[in-house]
This record gives sequence, structure tokens and C-alpha cells, in this order.
Amino acid sequence: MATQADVLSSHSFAVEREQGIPWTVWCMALACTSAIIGAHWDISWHTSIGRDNFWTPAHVAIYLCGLLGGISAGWLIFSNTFGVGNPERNHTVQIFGLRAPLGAFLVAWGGVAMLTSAPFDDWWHNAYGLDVKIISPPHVLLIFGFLSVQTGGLILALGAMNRASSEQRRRLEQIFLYLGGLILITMTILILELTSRVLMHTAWFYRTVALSVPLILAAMSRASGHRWGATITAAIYTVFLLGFQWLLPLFPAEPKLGPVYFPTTYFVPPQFPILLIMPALACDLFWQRFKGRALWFQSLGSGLIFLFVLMAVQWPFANFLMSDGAKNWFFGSNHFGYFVHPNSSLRRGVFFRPANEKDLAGFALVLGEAALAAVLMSRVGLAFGNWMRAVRR
Amino acid sequence: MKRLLPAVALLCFPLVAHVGVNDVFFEGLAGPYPLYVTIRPPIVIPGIAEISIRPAAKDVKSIRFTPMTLTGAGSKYPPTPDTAVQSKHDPQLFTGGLWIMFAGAWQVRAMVEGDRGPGSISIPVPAASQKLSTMDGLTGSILVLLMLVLAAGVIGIAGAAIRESQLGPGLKPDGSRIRRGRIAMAGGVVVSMVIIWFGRDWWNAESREYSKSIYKPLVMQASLAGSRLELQLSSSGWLQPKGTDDFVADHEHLMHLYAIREPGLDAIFHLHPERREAGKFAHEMPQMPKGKYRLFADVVHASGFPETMTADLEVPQDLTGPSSSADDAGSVLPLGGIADATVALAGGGRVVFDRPSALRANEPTTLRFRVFDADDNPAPNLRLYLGMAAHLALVKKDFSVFSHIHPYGNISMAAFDMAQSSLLPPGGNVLVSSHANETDGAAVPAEFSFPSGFPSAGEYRLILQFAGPKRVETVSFDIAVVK
Repeated sequence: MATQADVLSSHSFAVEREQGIPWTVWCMALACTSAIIGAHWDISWHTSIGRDNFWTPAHVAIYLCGLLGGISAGWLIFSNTFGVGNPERNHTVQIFGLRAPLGAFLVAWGGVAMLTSAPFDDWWHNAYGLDVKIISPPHVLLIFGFLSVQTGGLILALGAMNRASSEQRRRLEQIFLYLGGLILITMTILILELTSRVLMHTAWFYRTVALSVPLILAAMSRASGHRWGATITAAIYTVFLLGFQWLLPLFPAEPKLGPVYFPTTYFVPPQFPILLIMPALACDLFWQRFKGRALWFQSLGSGLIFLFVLMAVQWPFANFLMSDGAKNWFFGSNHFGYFVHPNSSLRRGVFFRPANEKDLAGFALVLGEAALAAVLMSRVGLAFGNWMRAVRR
Repeated sequence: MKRLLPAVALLCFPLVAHVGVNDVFFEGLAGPYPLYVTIRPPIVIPGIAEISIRPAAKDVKSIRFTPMTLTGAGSKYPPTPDTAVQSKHDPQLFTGGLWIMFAGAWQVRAMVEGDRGPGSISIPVPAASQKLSTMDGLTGSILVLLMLVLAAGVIGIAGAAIRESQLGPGLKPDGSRIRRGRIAMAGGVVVSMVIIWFGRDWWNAESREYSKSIYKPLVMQASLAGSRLELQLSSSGWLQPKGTDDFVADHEHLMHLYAIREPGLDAIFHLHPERREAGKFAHEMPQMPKGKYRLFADVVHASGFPETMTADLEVPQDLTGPSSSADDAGSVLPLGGIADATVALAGGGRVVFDRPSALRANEPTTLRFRVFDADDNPAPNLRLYLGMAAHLALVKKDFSVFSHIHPYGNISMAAFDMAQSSLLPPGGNVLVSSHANETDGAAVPAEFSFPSGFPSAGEYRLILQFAGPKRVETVSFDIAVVK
């Protein structure tokens, strides 16, 4: 049992050491950035060229995330488990005899999950064919691993942030919000196939977004303590997506899979980012106004506001995205994957309407589910954010 | 991990266009360059087809190839071609792989560059998923181990997160935190079990969905009313839609039906039932002995997708004919043995089979036959039979393999014509017609060669048919294929 004097002594020492940002936090920020760039590059590769191999640059960027994450987590676990005199041990948790900050274990778990997905995915290809969709069990394991690495990086930054002095806290808060933005991008990759612009006039689209985004915005806002936490998180998503949209087409590519229904000559970027920044801004304003109210009240209000504002801006904006006016480099509605058939809804600029939303009742039912999802996910996000605010290790 | 998989593990014998044969063998001209092409379509779709091309001449500099659908919009939009890799050890061998993204009728276009200028050819390739796999023990064990590590990680992280993560520096968790940590670990156990349970269900659902895409040929039911054969075709429930009334003529007929008597393969008939109505074919049978027959019916859909349907037929008594088609041919065979290289023809003359020294499964080969007249000269007056110099049926004696092939290979000639059409500009004529190519007035040579291969080791019967001066000859040879 450590004495109070020992604790204070080691704590002072640690505070002195914490004047700079720990290299492991920088390393994780770099790892997560590399993975996000690699993931969108890889999607663009499959949309433009079609086929790939193990060593494409996009894949290497993703592997770099695992490598950097492994170095960070490995170092933290090794140095804290075996470095008995290491003052950093005071900021660690113990799992199965190993000691490290909680974030390091999450990073390690994510690394093992990503590693597991490799032979699983290879077998999956041999059994059920090469990739044709993002959402398959091995891919979801990979994305979970990826999310865990990112969350581990986030918790690592969070632990340091919650222990830090004011100036250092401000810098760590910036890194924390940046990593939150990357997690939001990862989440939107997970729902990429369900959020095409042809679906933006379905309640299905809004239910999908409500299930995935409010949790992250609420958690980031609450954990960071920043009054514009959700807005900044959504802004980072928006900036990255716009960057991908404007930069990727500058690089040449040609389809190597057939049939080629759209003969692209460049890397096809993702579609224009969803206008998440608007509901995020509205949520931040709501949370500022009703900060002291019960969590359920805050969840109910912010969840419904999120959905309402999202629909209010995205629905009409989708009309524009489907029009000829958006077929330019800025809005990017002129970009199509090589496999997009001339008669498809996307090429014809026609909204898709699912069978269960043909009438108003069906639409309203799914929209009701979206509202419920937005409220519940906001509640989970706020609770998780509150928990994160107290994380010290 | 095996338990997570459906118990189904089957290898379907009825592969596309033939029975038991998945590979495509082709021999023909790309411009001035004779090529021997072997294409191994993937067993699962999407997958990679393996291509190997062997030019006969040494002046070929490079070969590029690209996959397209055989018909429809996709046939107009080829992707950027790949350059085949020329073997360092065997400069006459060019290889590569092409991704086949969905089931259906495809074509592989080969573009050759050489001293005599460019040349192109398109080879039809039917592609469909063939089997549902199970996981091998080693991979399964590794994945189970990793799954347990991940589950343990979830439990450990959940416990540590609640027990210690919010403590100040150096402090130890009190009893309350330890208790809550244990509850969190129990929650981790539940979450892990739920995720594994959900994952298992999802995997099984994906597997069930995939199993619907495994190829099943049209169902054919055969019955005999007197001497009239009636065939009823119906859907097999395969995921890919296929009609029962969208067939195109191949060698002048919508259907080529081989009737082979079991178990000795000692009576063989090549028949041509006529369409009566949608999904129904009928035929007046020729003179044929009674017995139990195995039927193999080749058809080609309008998309260029070929199929071989199978059925059994009991012929209760000898039939006396006559057949309703003048193109029918067959015989009750005086059979050759495994070692025989020569079979005498009833009207004089003989057929010589140039037996390869050894035939191995899954290796491309060329089967060569020569025909001599009664004076032992190359037979001078051979005619085309159904537009081709000769037809060869390759039958494994357990009936697990059947393939109807021609001097071009085991492709459907109707599909081949469609493939060549895509080489032309809109409105152009077919460059190489399977029939036009051999009906231009030139004499039919007395030597036939068939590019082919055998999918598995075992005893096979080769049934050769060609048109002599007076009648269609049917002769057979037995061969043994080793692993």
C-alpha cells in the first residue's frame, strides 16, 4: 500500500513530467489519422480501380495504424508492468497482471481484433467470394478493432487531459476532440452504404444516422467539457471529408474490373459530407442552455433537436445534391464509381424509396424509430461522456 | 469455430455448361496467332479466374486480357486490360488472373501483339459459385483462440475501467470499486456471449444466403410415351434467374441430348429434341436397345450462359425408330479397351487415337484422332457434322463428369459467336462463326484435335462422332487419368 507521501511525491514528479504531450498520445493521433486516410483511400481504390492486393498504399496506411498503436500500447504495457520504479505506474490500471493506462489496453485489444480479422477475412474470401460489401463479419471485426484503437487513443489522451494543468489540458483537449472527430468519420464509414444521397429522402437514412452519430457527439461534448465540443467534432469530420472529396480526384486511376459502366479516370471521392455540423451546433446550444437539467431531459431535447435539424438541412440539401447544380468539383455529385450502372438511381439522380415507406404511415413509423434512436443514443453518449470526464488513468 | 458454420459442406457435381468440369479449354486464332487458352473460373464468386495462354508461334511479344460480360450493357464497357506475365522458364506461356465479380455469362478478351501485328479473340466463360466451404481445423483453432483472447480482453477491460480508471494517482480501489468492477466483468462476460451469439447467427445467415448462389442447373424430367421422349424443364431455384424458354440455337439445334446406357456406357446416342412449348421438348427416339439411360442435355440461354441438364430414362423395350431428326446419330458400340489406339469402322477404314503417354487430372491436354479409309490413306471424303468437323463427348464412367467438346474446345459455339460479335463495331458482322468457319468449301481434314482436360482421376470414355461419306460414325476409346 502506497503511503500518502509516496503518492504526493510521485504525483508531483508526474506533473512535472507532464509539461509536454506524452509521445504515446502523439503516436496514437498519428496512427488514427493514418488509418482514416487509408480507409477512405481504400474505399476510393475499390470504387475507382476495383481490385487491390495486400500491399496497396491505402492498405499500408491502415497497417501503419496497427503498427503505431502496437508500439504505443506495447511500450506502455511493458514499461508499466516491469518498470517497478516508473512513476507513471500511478496512472495505470491492472488487467491479468499487466499494468498500463486503460487506453493502452483498448489499443492492444483493437490490435488483436484487427489481427484476428486478417485470417478470418482471408478465409471469408475463399469461402464466400472476394469483397463486394463493407458489412461482413470479418470486416465488422476489423472496424471494431479499428474503433477500439481509436477509442484507446482517445482514452489515453483523456486520462492525460484530466490529470493535466490548464495549458497542457487545453492542448490535450484539442487532441481529444481531434480523435473524436476521427471516430465520427469511422462511424460514418460503417454506415456508408446506408447513407448514399439517393436515400436522403427516406426515414431509413435518418434512423441510420440517429443510431450512430448522437452517441459520439454527446460523449465528446460531455467528456471534453468544451462548450462547442460536438460542433468541433462534426467540423473535423466535415473538413476531412471535404479534403478527401477535393483531393482524391486530383490523382489518376482507371478501372481494372468490369463491367465498367462509368469510365472514371481518377480516384473517386466520397460524396459530400452529411451536414452533421448543423445539428451538432444546435445540440451544443441546447446543452449550454440546459446544462444542469436531468440527463433524460437533456437526452430527450438534444436527440429530438438533432433529428429535427438534420432533417431540416439535409432533406432540401439532398435535392440540391441530386441536381445538375451539384455536379462540380465542389459538391462532387459528378463523381461515380466505375460500377454505377447508367440506369441506377444514383446516375439518374432519382431518390430511392423503400417498400416500407411507400405511404405516410410507414414513413412515420421509421421516423419514430429514428427519434427514439436519437434520444436513446444521446442518453448513452451523455452517460459515457460523464464517465469519461472522471477517467484519470 | 466449426460449430459456427452450417453443417452443409457439399461439392456440386453439375458445374456450369458441363457436368463436373469447371475449366474452359480453347484453341483458336487471335488474328494470325494460334492460341491454346486455359481458363479456370473461380470456385466462389466474386473470385479470380486463372488464365494461361500458350501461343503456337514464337513471334508473340505480349498478351493482354480483360473480362467482360458476354451480353448486355457490360459487354460494351471493358475494364483496362491486364498484361499477361510471360514465364521466364517457358517463354511460350503467358499467365494472369482476372476478377469475375458476379455469376453469369462472361467473356475473356485476349489481345495479342507480335511480329505479325495485333490479333484479338474473345472466349466465353460461364461463371457461377460452385461450393460452400467449411473451415479447416487449424484456421478454426487459431480463430477460436483469438476469439477467447478478445473475449477475455473485453472482460478484463470492463473490470479495470470501472474498478480503477477513475482513481487518483497511486490510490488503490476500495471494496465498493472492487465489487463494481466484478459486476462490470460479469457484464463483460454477458456482452461477449451476446456478441458471439449474434455473430454466429449473422455468419449462418450470410452462409445461407450464399448457398442460394451456388449453381444448380435447370431441372429436367424425362418420360417416354411409346417411342416419344418428352422433356419437361423447370427452374432449379438458383438465385440467378434463368428462363426455360430463352434458348438459342447451337450447332443448328436448341438442344443437344446425349443418351448413354448404364452401367456399361455401351449404347450412346446424340439426339436433338425439338421445342414443343415453353419449357417442353419432345423427340421421336431412334432405334435403340432397352435399358436405363443417363441423359445429358446441352442448351445455351440468350445471355450466352450454357447449361447441361441431367435426367434418367428407363427404356422398357427395344425401340425401332425412326428418329424425328436427321441429325441424330449413335450406336451400340463394339467398344475399344483402355489400351486400344485403333477402332475399325464398320464400312471399312479405321480411327486412330494418338494416346498421350500419361493423362493427369487438371492438366490441359490435346486429344488427337486420325481417320483412315479402307486403303489406309487419310479419309478423303469426310463431311461436317452439325457444322463441325467432329464432336467429342468425354464421360467419366461413374457419370460424375460429362463434357461435350469440339475442335475449338469445351466452349459453347453459340456463346463463342456472341463473344466474337463484341469484338466488332456496332452493326458489324461476326468475324468468326463456328459454322461459317468450317463451311467455306474446304474439305474436312481427316485429323481432329480437341483441347481438353480432366477434372479428376479415374476411368473415362471418349465418344467421337464425325460424318463419313455415307453416315455419321460413332466410335469410342477408354482412357485412364491419374492424379
